[in-house]
Amino acid sequence: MKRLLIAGALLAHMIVPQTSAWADGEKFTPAQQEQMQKMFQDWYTKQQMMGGGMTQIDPPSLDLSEKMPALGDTTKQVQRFGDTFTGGGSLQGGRTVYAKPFVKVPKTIVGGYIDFTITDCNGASRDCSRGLEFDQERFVPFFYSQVTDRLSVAAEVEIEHGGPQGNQSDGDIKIEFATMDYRFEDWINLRAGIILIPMGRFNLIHDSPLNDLPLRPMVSRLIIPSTFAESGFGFFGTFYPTQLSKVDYEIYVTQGFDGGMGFGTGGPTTITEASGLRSSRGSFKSDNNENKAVISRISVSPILGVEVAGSIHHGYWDDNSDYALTILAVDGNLQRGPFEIQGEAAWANIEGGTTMPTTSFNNGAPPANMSGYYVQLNYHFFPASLKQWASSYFSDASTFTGVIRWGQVDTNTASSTNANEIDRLTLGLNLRPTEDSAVKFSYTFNDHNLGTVGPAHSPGSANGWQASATTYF
Amino acid sequence: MGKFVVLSFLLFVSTVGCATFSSAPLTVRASCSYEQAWSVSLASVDEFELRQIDKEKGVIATEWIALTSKRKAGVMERDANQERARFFLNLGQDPQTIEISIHQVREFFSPMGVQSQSTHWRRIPPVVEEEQRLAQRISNQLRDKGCATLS
Repeated sequence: MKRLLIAGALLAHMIVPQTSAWADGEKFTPAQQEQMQKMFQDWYTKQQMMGGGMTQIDPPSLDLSEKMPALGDTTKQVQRFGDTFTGGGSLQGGRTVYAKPFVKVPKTIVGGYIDFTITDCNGASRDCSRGLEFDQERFVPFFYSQVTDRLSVAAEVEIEHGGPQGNQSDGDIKIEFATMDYRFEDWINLRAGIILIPMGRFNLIHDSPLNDLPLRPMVSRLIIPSTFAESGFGFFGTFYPTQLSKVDYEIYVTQGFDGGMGFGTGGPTTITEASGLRSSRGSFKSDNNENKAVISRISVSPILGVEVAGSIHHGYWDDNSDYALTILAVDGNLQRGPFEIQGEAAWANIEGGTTMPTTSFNNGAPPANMSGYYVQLNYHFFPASLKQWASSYFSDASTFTGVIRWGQVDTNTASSTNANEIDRLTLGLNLRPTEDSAVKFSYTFNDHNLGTVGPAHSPGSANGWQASATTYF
Repeated sequence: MGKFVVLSFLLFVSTVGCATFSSAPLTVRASCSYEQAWSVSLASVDEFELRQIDKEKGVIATEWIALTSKRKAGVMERDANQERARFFLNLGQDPQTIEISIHQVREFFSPMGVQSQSTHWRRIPPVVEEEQRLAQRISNQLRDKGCATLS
């Protein structure tokens, strides 16, 4: 009898005190709830049959309804950002030996995004150079972990075109970013690792599900070589000068570009007219010179829906630290109702460059100056009749977006024969059944300078179309 | 042409954008003393930690209030996204009435991919219903104190 009472008390202890905790957050499926209620009912019936002395105890209620605070959606949970991390958890600040994140806190999120594209660009050069192709362009798992109150870790691993072990070994796997953030206050936080470089706007939102067209802007491929990440550390934060305004900043020290040997020192450099700065992204492991690069971006948002930002990347690109490379960028974004206008521009100045960077003639010197920009107008809409007609396929978050993007890029501004002087007009339409998923279609009109660099440029001004399906998961 | 386009774009965003986006905040007008309006305003946000209390300037600002975002993350619709909000109450006075304006600043954080980078939090529109509920609460409390509310 004593054993039964102890077992019963333990069972009651396991179930009764925790019902309020369930109501606060933990969710059980109806089947689990039913099973637990049945367990307790069995025990309770047994006790009654045996004439136990606990008949006053009522079976616990499994009412999981959440309490509604006074302001509806707001809760009474008030947390000063920095004292405790938003979202709570029971990590106890990592103070106990058992507070290892994998043991104690289910605050690690594993997800990713996938991006499949179909293109037919008729040899229209940059980013879309061939005939009809299917491309499993990106499969990108990501991780986000709130390790302690103040420490978080985030990373994206990009598997492109099926990875390096694909059928034709023409893909790759690489880290897009991997950072540790230590949060002090809103206005100052420390970040270290492989950092997503805050140059312009597009690089910071380059995930395919966030963008409305299948192709990235040309300036964000050649001048700001997105995905642009470098190994380093620095600080970021936010100030609120007035009740309505917000100023964000990021400042980092990184290894910077690796352009190889400079002019007259045995070249050739990897900074070229054909690839812009794309092939000169530095190693995550080692530096080609002792000088580090400094990167900073300041973004000002005077009111909600308006944002203007400026950024700079300055460092030395050559192995001997003789020549500096400076990129300046500005970007902006404006949203009003269904309309959104966004854009960015970048200018690169490469010391040791020349106006005639023919590899053999100038011993591998890079172009002296590059520039590019894009401006994009989005219009979001969704016919109400379509939602009524196919209500199971669409929700309130479903939307179509019509897109017009105009962009120019020039990887050697001093030369009029530069084949990578390209103008591109893109018209696009996409459907987002949910906010994090998109089916996109676009048509690109390309106008190239008719260069003489090689057969890849001979079609000059060919046009093409692209389609893609992408989603976060 | 490039410089012209870029300059035009930046000018458009910074000037036209700011000019067209200024909207009047939600306001409660009452016929009562400043002291009464101040104490009611303070009491209306007593469930929140306050960052700024400046009676002279007539400003009350709450700390960030942590919220669960209703916006689900990814196709698996996980509860991974977070939101936070602050309320600002601004008291103004003219000879006849006291004006209490209410507005909410709201920010969104998603751990999904690059959204976890940059400076973490990005601004989103306030939830007008929450602003209205706070305004209603202030109006009710003012009436309980014997003040006449005008809007």
